[in-house]
Amino acid sequence: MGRINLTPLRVRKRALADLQANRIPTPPVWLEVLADVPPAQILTRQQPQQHPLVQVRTKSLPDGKTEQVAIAAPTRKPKSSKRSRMFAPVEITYEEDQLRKQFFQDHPWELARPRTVLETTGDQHKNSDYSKGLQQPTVPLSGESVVQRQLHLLQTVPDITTDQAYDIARREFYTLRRQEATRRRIAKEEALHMGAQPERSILHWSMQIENKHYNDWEQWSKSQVMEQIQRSAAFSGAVAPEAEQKMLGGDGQDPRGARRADPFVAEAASRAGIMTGTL
Amino acid sequence: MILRQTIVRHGRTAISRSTKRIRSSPCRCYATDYSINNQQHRQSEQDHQPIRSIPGHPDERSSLLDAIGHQGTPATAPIEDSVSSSAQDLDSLRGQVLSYVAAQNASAIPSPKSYHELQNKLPPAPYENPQALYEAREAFHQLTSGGTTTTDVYYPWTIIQNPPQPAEVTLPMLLANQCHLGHATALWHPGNSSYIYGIRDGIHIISLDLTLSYLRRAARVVQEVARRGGIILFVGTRKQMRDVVVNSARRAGGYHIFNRWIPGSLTNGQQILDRCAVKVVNAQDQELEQYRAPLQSASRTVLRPDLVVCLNTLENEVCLHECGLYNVPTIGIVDTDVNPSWVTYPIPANDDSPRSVALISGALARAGETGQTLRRQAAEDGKTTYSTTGVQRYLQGMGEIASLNVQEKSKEGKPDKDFD
Repeated sequence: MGRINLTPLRVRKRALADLQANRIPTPPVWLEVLADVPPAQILTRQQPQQHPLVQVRTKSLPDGKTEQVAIAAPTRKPKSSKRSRMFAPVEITYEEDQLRKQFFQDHPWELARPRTVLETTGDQHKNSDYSKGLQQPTVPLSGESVVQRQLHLLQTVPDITTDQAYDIARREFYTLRRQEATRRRIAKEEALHMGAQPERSILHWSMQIENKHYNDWEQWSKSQVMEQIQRSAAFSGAVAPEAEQKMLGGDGQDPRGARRADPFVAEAASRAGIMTGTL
Repeated sequence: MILRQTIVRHGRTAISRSTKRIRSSPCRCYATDYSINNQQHRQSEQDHQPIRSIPGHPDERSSLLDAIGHQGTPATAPIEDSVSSSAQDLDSLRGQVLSYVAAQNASAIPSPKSYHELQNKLPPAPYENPQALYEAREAFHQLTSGGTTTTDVYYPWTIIQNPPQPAEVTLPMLLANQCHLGHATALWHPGNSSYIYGIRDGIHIISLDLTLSYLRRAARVVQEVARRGGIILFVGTRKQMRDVVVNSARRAGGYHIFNRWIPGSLTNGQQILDRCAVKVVNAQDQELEQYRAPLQSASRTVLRPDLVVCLNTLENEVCLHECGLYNVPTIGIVDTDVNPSWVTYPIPANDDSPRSVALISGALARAGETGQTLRRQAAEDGKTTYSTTGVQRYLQGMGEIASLNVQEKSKEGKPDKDFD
């Protein structure tokens, strides 16, 4: 198992040699197949494919005609000038990259919208024609539509600047998003009017959970307070309600007034964070 | 208040004292041009705002006039009567309309059920496989369908159950199946430099036109080997590849390994695979039973594959090395981190995506299927697409060794193929 193992490439050569030397009785079934369809050349180092940034623009000429020109950006200097990097693949760049970056910097919440990145056939963009606007068949509206529309404008409209194209594309986008929102709102109203029962919201569920916790806590705190009362009663002895009233010196219609005055209870209650009067 | 009156009298528009504290004159100030334009002198939001709304809604039957506590006079009595009678008419009409709508709704639309009520009827998650999930979703859709249909849906098993022919594979299909995604640039094997299109977001992108041409070349090999009755072995030892490997092998009429390549299966096959069942079949793939007993009793050499298709090349270096030692041609999916010299026919593609693997393997399996069909057609015409002398000689020798009465010139068909 050396670094470069050429045995798999030489199976046919070796089979022929084996056959000639009678090491194998019959030729293997694949012998002719490998002659008909030989393995491809491997481990050949070729110059890597270059990906220059090409911008297509339409320019108006002095005679009133327009001309589409392709402007290739000067290739960037490679990061390393080592000879070993000569065959290394280079970065793929497109003009859209910059447009996309700008759009999503300005509209970061567009990235938060759910989006399907899975492709079924790969022909999703086959029928797209961005000269007709942002919305394309089989392509849902997203920031990518803006980028493609902007690129189309940049390539076809004479002497347009990037900012102008951006403004046109994003205004169209805003209009479509507004329409979408209105359509969704009306659909919801309609559905509710016709008796639809929407799924309970996350807020509803969380409130339910919270309520449950509050109730549990209330039970627990009540039991704690009762425990404290019992403990203090065992310590100081049971006190008759009349004596209690006397001790308190109040009118004492409510026997719970005594508990309120009890320091243990008050402490327990304050620890539990509730008013003793409610118990 | 005095200030306000003064201002009104002087005919100016200005705002009276604000609750905002003004640094220069903390208590009061007079309305001048300066104070009008000064933001600080304007009325604060904390100031008392008069209620400007009209009491009641215009649709309500009360009106502004109701607020005025005037008693009706004989002069207004007929107007009030007409108003009340028209209100009664409206009420009755509304009642009729509502009852009609309710009746229509009750007859036409079934009573709406809540989402959760419906969902409780379905088998609970987790689902065993994607297909179970799909069936649950379909059932839910049946329950809730309101005349809608979904189109252009991705089903993960379609590529496994119905893979395309190698000639039908297109570049968009390869792209949609994520065949172009390589590994992080730091993990690359420089031997793959000719298969790499470029770098994007820190990973190597495989050149799909090369993938397609290499795939077709490999498919051609699979088809020819299958046509000649060779033994094709599919090896894919990752968990995600199980369905793919099994289905591909079944389709191509080959064999599969989906858990582990036991090291030495080729180099020490006599020990490892000695007890495996073998049968002799004729050209129509029917078993020749007279060879069953001698094959079981006599010691025999272990069968070897004629072609190995490896789906996860990186993990199966041992397998490929053994194939190299025993002179077996190999086909392998070569990602950007795999040494392409390990296999005879590399297919540069992504081996980490189940979709990609399913597409490549499926296309090869389709080629194998075509080859098997061609072989069977030739057999029906009474021809063989391969030489049978080797097998005949082997069986003859085996018969002599076992000194059994084996009919060599079998009338029912030529013994030609061994299955392991």
